[in-house]
Amino acid sequence: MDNWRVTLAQFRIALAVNFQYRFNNIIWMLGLMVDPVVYLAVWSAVAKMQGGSVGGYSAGEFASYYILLTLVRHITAAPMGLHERRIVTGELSALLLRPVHPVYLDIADDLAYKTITLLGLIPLAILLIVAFEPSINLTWSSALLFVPTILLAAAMRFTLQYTLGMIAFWTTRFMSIFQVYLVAQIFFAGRLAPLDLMPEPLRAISYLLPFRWVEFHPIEMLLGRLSSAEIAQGLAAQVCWLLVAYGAFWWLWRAGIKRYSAVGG
Amino acid sequence: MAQPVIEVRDLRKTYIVHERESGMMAAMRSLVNRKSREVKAVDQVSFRIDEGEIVGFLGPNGAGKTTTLKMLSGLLHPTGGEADVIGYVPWKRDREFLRRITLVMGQRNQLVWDIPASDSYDLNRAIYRIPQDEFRRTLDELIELMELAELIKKPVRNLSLGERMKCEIAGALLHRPRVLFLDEPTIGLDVTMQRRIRTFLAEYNRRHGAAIMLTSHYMADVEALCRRVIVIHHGKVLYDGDLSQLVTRFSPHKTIVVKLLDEVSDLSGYGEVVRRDEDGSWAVRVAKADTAQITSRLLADLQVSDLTIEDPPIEEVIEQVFSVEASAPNPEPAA
Repeated sequence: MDNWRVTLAQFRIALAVNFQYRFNNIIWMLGLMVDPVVYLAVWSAVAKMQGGSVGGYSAGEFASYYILLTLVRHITAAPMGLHERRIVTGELSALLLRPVHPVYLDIADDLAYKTITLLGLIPLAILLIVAFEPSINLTWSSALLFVPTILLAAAMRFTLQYTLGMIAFWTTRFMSIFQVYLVAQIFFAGRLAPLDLMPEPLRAISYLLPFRWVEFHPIEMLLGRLSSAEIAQGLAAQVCWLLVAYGAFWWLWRAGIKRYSAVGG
Repeated sequence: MAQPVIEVRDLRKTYIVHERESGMMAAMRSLVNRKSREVKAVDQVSFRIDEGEIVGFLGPNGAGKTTTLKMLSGLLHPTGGEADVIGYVPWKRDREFLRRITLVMGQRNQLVWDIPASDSYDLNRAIYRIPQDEFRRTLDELIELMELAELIKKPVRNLSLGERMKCEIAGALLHRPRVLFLDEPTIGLDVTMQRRIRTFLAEYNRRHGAAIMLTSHYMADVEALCRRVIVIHHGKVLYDGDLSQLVTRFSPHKTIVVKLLDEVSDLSGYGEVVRRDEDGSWAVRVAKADTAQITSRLLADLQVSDLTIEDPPIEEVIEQVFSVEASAPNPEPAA
């Protein structure tokens, strides 16, 4: 409980810091939104040319898919390369002297960043809705289910990326390894195209990787395109990934710190 | 009897260093056949520090000072040996242990750059679980001792290096650590600021009885704060004892400074002339054992208006310690 009090204290600080950098943050965030908007423009053009739809997606459905993708990407965004920077700069030593795990501070930073940038996201979403006329048919049940789904997705990605970042304890080339993860994400999260439109082998693989459950699954669920069985499957997959990542988190952290304290910071 | 707060026995730290020559071919070769060697950063170091002691930890760059401090504060795991700091094994990094110590490194910052230090202090209150009233009291005391009232309201990035260092030190002491490891706390600061920090550390030590282990390249820090020093070189303890004894033991010379009324062309008959000033002042270096005899000779032979006998500057003595070690690889065990 005391650890979460540290998160709260850090959240206040991070909010102040992020507020000072609100314009930088919002511009940075808008930069991340460029590619979904490009895909959206391309796919709606294609749908219109094909006489209204591609693979069951109408132009309006593409619009709702990609507008939700910008939102989901933002809510589930997680830090990467955090440990690598701290190891290189020696900042990690200062953090290790404190009687609290740095993750409690990092969670606060992440939440503060999202809180501030959400202010920029809302007008953007309105703009996109006006420009692309999405076909939205939300039901109460899918909207209610979306809340735990997106929270699980965010927790899962945060834990996973935070843990993957610990590879930096063993190699100085973490970011190049991480590039592989980022490229896979473009294909398997449903950013390039909704996963339904992907060729069968890729779609099959997407069930085994984490990305589908972070982005594609919550969007599809909110759009009411999933059966109850598929919703349950998604929930199970998210919980499994979260547990695996959480286990790996502690195991890798202990091993990483052991290594770090053997070679010196 | 004073309670030991730090006890170190045969502490060792060996680094494996990979080596290769520069150039493309060497880089290729090193892929197949990597050469490495062991560097003994800390080699069988033992000492004990009691409650309330301030100990200067001296040695040239690379002597093993920082490595030792990192082991004692739990950042580094030793290769061998034991250490006990306020009842804990430091490198187990027990939360309770971390809550009772602090390590200040001259070039590291804990404070958040973009916000006032007072906000960072609030974070420390949560991190170290300091009760509100105790926090208030400690902070007021630190503000008063270091004249921080105005500084802690400004964003840290707007502070000068010295002001920031004061705020850093205050932040590192909010949880009232019982043991302070200070690695070059005054590095890069001007003389006034150095003095201010020194005075503060002495006062903190007096009020709270905290043990302080301090490294510094500024001998003024050491002379002002530390009665005891531990000298380390190539990872080994060369000397552990009173600072004053260090001078007696390692410096075989004294310097006699005389001001003469007569015009004299040369004093080299008395000792090695190290300085001669326009106003008739001379500085002559003599063997310690001969000091009394040469002084009386000077007074008998010449018209002296002033005479003082000085110990060499501490820097010189420390240099002497290192050169003694170089010529005698196995010095007698430290006192």
